[in-house]
Parts: sequence; structure tokens; C-alpha cells
Amino acid sequence: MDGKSEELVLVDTCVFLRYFFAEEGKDIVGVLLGKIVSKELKAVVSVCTLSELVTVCIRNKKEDLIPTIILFIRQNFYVANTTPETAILAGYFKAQYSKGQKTISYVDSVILATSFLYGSLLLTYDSEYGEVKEVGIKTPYEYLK
Amino acid sequence: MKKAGLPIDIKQPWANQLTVGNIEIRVLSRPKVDLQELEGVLKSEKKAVSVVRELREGDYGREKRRTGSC
Repeated sequence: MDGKSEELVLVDTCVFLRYFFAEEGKDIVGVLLGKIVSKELKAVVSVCTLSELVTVCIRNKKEDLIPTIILFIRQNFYVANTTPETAILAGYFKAQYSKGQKTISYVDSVILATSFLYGSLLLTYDSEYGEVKEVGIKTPYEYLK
Repeated sequence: MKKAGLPIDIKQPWANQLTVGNIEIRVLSRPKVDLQELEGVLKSEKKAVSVVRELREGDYGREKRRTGSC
């Protein structure tokens, strides 16, 4: 056991999209998703990610992919709802990390709150979370290396 | 199980089966989605991070109008 096996990770939307767009770095995401599919790694997604993936599919005129993508996620991930506790904590994150010109969106805040409440590591490529201290944040590459 | 106040008799003989009146609903497990079949299924000229940023930043304007601040 490598010590990571019991760790829970929350996978952000951009990680899925890197694989779905077959962007540079997709292989690392493929390895990560493979570990999740094989149950080597436990993973969570926020319901917000489901919304965003549906939007991206529709804008791509790929509505037919929505059931497959949603099924893939439901088969392999725990889908975390936005509960009142999540919403309240998201409000704190939003206020704390949106000062002056800097701001984080409500979706960012909900994802941070979900990750915090599940005690998970947030896997993302988004540098907007840079100043956050309450949640451990890594890219899939940093996590897997 | 009789739903209080409603003329509906709901039976749950199995965890994946529900009977409401004369209608039987069964949950059938679907085959697992193959991870490889999802690689490169979407096209975008923008990077994944930019696509997500745009989706989330699009909400800032509405937030500002609604609450007076972000």
C-alpha cells in the first residue's frame, strides 16, 4: 500500500475536460481516472461538475454524450450534493477569497467547501485556487508523481 | 407500504424493485462505461482550464448585478 490508497480526492471539472478534449497532459489524467475506475483510489465530484460538463457537451453540440459521461461519473465517483452545510461554508470561502480585484466564483467556493467537508485533496489545473490554505490542492501530475 | 393520504400502495419487494399500484419498476444495471471511449470525445479550441474559467466567470456579472458585489 503506498499510503495514497485510503486518500480521497475531489476531481475538478477541468481535469475531466483535459481528458475529454484529449489535451496535452491527457495521459496523466488517464492514469488518474484509471486508478479511480479500478477502485485503487476513492474519488468525489461536486454536483457542480455535472452541470458544467452538461453545459460543455451542449455547447460542443454533443448532447448525445451526456448520458455516457454522467453514467461514467456515477459508476466511478461519489457525487457530492450541495447541502446547506456546503452552501454555508462556500459563503465563507467566497467572502474570504474575494477581496478587491481578486474573486472566486460560487462554483469555486462550492467545490472548495465540498473538498473541505469530505476531507479530500482537490485535484485541479486551475490556478485561481492558489491562495486557499484550508484545502490541499494539487494537479493530477503533482499527485501521481 | 401505504402512502398516507394517497390511494397508492407502494411495495418494495427488493432493493432494486418498486411496485406502485399495477406498475412495476425495476432498476437494471447498465454496462460499465469504458474510460478509453471517453478520450477526445469533445473538441475545443480553448484549453480545459479556460473553458471552466469562462463558465465560472460568466457568473460574476450576474452576481454583481444581484448583490452589488462579487
